[in-house]
This record gives sequence, structure tokens and C-alpha cells, in this order.
Amino acid sequence: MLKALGLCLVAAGAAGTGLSVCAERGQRVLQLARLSGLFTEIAGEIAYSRAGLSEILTALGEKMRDAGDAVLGTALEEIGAGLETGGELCALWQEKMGDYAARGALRGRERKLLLSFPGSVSFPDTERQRTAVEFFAAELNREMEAARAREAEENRMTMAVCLAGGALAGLLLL
Amino acid sequence: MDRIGMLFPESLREPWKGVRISRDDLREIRLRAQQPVLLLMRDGEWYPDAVGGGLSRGSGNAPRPTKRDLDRIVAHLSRYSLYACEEEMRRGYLSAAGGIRVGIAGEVIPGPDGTVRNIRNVGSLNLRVAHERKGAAGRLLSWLYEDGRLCSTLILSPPGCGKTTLLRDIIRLASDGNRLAPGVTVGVVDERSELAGCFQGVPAFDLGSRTDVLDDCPKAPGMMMLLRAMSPGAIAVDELGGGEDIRAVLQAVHCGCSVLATLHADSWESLSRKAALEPLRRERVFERILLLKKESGRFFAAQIRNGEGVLMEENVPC
Repeated sequence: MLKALGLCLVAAGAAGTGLSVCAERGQRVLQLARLSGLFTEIAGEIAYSRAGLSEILTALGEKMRDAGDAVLGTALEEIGAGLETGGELCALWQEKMGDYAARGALRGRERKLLLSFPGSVSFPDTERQRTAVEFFAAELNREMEAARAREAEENRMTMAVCLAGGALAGLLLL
Repeated sequence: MDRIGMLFPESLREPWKGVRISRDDLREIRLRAQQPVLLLMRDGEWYPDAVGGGLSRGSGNAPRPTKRDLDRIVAHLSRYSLYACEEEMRRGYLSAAGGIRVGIAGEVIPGPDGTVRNIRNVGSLNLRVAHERKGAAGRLLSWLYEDGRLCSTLILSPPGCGKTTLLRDIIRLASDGNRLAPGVTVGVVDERSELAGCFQGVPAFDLGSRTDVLDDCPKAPGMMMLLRAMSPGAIAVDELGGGEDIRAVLQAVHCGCSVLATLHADSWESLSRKAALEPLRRERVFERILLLKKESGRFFAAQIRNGEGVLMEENVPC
């Protein structure tokens, strides 16, 4: 009886590990989709209202928070407020978005791309600035699509490996 | 000085930390690539002393910004949103928070039709600090009203003699009401964000409780928009320009509005020589014309004339 219970626990642990890895993968896809959407909205605001970056980031921060991403929302609002009080974009972005990226499931290249944004806001005309911001949206969207395409296959592999590992561990423990 | 220091990116604030300046005394900060920073104060030119702190008449210890520093200051003043300042840059300036206007000189990028597309390789910046002098128009009021009605008024002076400061106070007094008349709705077309000092739509200066501001809007269409939508009793504009502005002024006056305006001119005679103003002269649109002068840092109305050009009063302090 105890052996059967132990076997069940090992199998459940293996499945739980697999699910956790899959969930993190799903989280990354979600985060990439949200960031891609964020840059699309920034580009749209630049083209439509020509509002300043601080104004745009503050408004989008509020929107993100309402949409349930309090971490990203707060980071954007803090960057917007920092710009209003004379802060430098590069330092503010590295600090706030760096924290946000570190907390999430983004990978090295995606983080690097996200943190390189302040280098792309020096264009003196609306059209070129919009194009520059759209590049970030497109790149992150591409990463997201690739991650999503791989997600199902990788999730299947992960679950198979975890469950097989769990079964093997169970057999060895018997 | 903290507020002045805020005009610079954090990494360039160090030389300003020991410098204490009253905003009331500061007129301009001149920044030129590789040249000492120059402050134009009420009592003349001073240099910030980056070593000892404070101000000095000598330029020895003044910081000398590099071209890259100027680029960073421009980016900072635009809140890293140069694209949002495209129109302003085309006209050679940027509006910063707190009613500060930044004049820019550098290499002009020409547009296809000979216009200015933008400025690059910025070599000089002139940070011009706008001032609010409540009460500046107080002693002039009795000449600006006739039977309780605000007269259309043109303020003339050479640059830097207080035209905009005086106009700002006349707007405030007309809007809030004063000893001669109750307040009227005043529409302000602030093409260069100097009158109201708007930053993101919020005026930095007190223009009165019945004042509506169209910020960053060309004067002629702005006046028409106000006439159609805001029913102003008076319309105020800074620095009247060419034919379109003149036609808009005429239309406003024909609609029963008083017009308050300023114009660059150093004398009554130079006003008479401006051909573009002929329609206004012919119709005697401006019922009062004030010529401002400046002596020992104080400005005053050297001449007050009526619409026929008859001198009404001289040397009224503002």
C-alpha cells in the first residue's frame, strides 16, 4: 500500500514538474505578446497623437495595470513619471524594464532587445520614429510566433520526458 | 536653481549644483558648443562657476558644453520625444516645462520647397525663461478701457522689452475682471507656447479664470476656431505676422471681439512703414497702441496712442 502511494507521489511530482515548465513557456509567449502589443500601441500613439513618450508610457501603464499586468503597468508609469521630473530615459528604462524583464520568462535575446529601446527614440520626425518603434513590435511578435509554434511540440516533449522520468524513478524505488 | 538644473540631463547637472539664481533675475541661458555657458541676468551677463559655485563675471570656470552635450540637452528637453517637437524644431525652437522656450541654431535641413525641414548638428541653444509679472499692466488699465469696454490694443517694442509679459498681465486682468470692468472670456492663440507657457496642455502662467488657450496653434486658424467655438469677448495673440494674421484680426474685430496683440517694432514710425499692416491702419482696428521701452532693467510704456495715432500719454511705468 505504501509503495503504491509512493509511486503515485513520484508520478504526480514528475507531472507537476512538467506542467510547471510548460506553464513557464506559456508565460513567456504571453509576455512576448504583451510587449509586442505595447510597442504597437506606442507606435500608434506616436503616429496618431504625436504625444510625448512620457505621456504615452503613463497612459499605457495605466492600461496594462487595468489589463491585469501590474508589474509592467507600474514599470511604465514609473518611467513616465521619471521623465516628467527630469529623469533620463536610458537610466529609467534600464532600471524599471530591467526589473520587469528579470522577473518574467524572457530569454537573453528578448531581454536585450527590450532593453535596447531607449537607443531608438532619437528620430526627429514622426514617421521614422513610428517605424523604429514598430521594429520592436515586429521583432517581439516574431519571437512570440516562433515560441508559440514550438510551444505545443516542446510541451509534449517535456511532459513525455517528465512522466517517463517519474515512471523510471518509481520503478527504481520499487 | 533646482528648477533650472532640471533643464539638463542628470549627468550634466553637476556644474549647476552650487549655483543659486532667482528665476525672477534670470532671462536667458546661452549654451554654445565648446564655449562657456553664459547667463543673461537682469543685471547683465554672468558665468556659472563650476569650481567655486555661484556666479562670476569671468568665464574661466564656466562649463563648456560639447556638441554631444547639446544633443543630450535637446533630447532631454523634448522628453526624449523629438518627433513630438517636429513642428517647433522646424520653426527653430522647443517648448520646455515651466514656460521656458529653447531657441535652437545649427545646421538646417532644407525641405523640398525651400522651407526648413529640421535642424541637426545643434551648435547653440538659448534657454529663454519666461516671466510672470502680475500687476505689470495695472497702471496702464485706465488707457486700455473706454466706457467699460476693453479696447483692441497693439503692443510694440523691440525684442526683450516685455511685450509678452505685459500682454500676459493684460489678459489676466481682462479675464478675471478689474476695477474698470467685469471679466470677459479671453481666447488666447499661443502659437509658440510663450504666452501661457503650456506644457502638455496645462498653462504654466496665470492667464485668468475666463481664459481659453489654443496652444501651439497657428494664429490665423486659431483665431477663427476661437470665434466659432468659444465665443470670446477678446482674443490675444503674440507677435502678429503676415497677411493671414491680419485678415484674421480684421475678422475678429468685425465679429465684435477686442484683439490684444504684440508686434516687433522699435518706434511709431517703424510701425507706419510696415505695409502688411495697412488694412489694420485703414480700418483703425487697434484703438490703443503702446510702445514699450526698457531702461535699467525696467520696462515702461514710452508712448500710448489712440487709433488715430494721437499721443495720449508718455512714460507710464509697467
